[in-house]
Amino acid sequence: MKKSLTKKTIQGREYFYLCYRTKGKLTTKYLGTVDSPKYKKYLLSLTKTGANYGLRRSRIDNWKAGVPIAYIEDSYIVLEYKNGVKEYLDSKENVKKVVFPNG
Amino acid sequence: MDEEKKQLIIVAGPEASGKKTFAEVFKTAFLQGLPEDNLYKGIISGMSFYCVSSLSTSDEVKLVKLAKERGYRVTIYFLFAPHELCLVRARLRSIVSKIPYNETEMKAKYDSSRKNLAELKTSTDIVFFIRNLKEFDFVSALSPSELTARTYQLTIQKVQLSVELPE
Repeated sequence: MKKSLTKKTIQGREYFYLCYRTKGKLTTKYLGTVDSPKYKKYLLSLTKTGANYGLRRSRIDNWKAGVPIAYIEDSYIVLEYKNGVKEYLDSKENVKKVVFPNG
Repeated sequence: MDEEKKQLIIVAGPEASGKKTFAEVFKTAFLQGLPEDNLYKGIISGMSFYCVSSLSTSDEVKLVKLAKERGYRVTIYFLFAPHELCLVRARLRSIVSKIPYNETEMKAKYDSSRKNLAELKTSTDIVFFIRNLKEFDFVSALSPSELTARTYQLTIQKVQLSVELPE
């Protein structure tokens, strides 16, 4: 469901609303100010849904170009290849372990 | 209802920390659907806009301060990632997208972007700290003006330490 965030400024203070359609009916949900728990919860929900977008896109772009994707896991730099092999590097880029897809 | 204040939203952080991806994903939500512009042109236009910047040069700092003086409400989304990961990502990106990078410059910029974030304390209305180790992780949001310079600096250091890799 597509939800759009709208903002109103009243006397210098910003108030946020979430607008969406349910069964064709427009619903507006009040989220409060930038400090309110509802607004913060909304921001957190966004990071949850969009959080791994970069990773998903890297998988498409990098693997298509034949290079691994890079991220951090357990304080190691992980290079993950298309065939599922993961190389774990330390901060000096020395390979510490290699994990194959089937263990 | 009051007239809305002009907005300047900056997606900041070191090179290859994921700024452009963040801007792409959260364009509607965090960046409020504002148009993208560069700092100088945007401020001169006097319109609300967002920009992607490493905040690593003194010129960028001066421009953000100028924006504040000109009545902008300044929001910064600052991305934290370890330098070593940024380097690897930049190297891979140079293969995939042919974007050149310079390792020595990257290190200098990596350090200066955080220093500049601290220097912009009085010119920033809200700053969001986001870790990007594997996924975007929303750490905290705060108003730097409500903190002392020392507390603000320590907060930045604390988030930075949380992303650094062991030696």
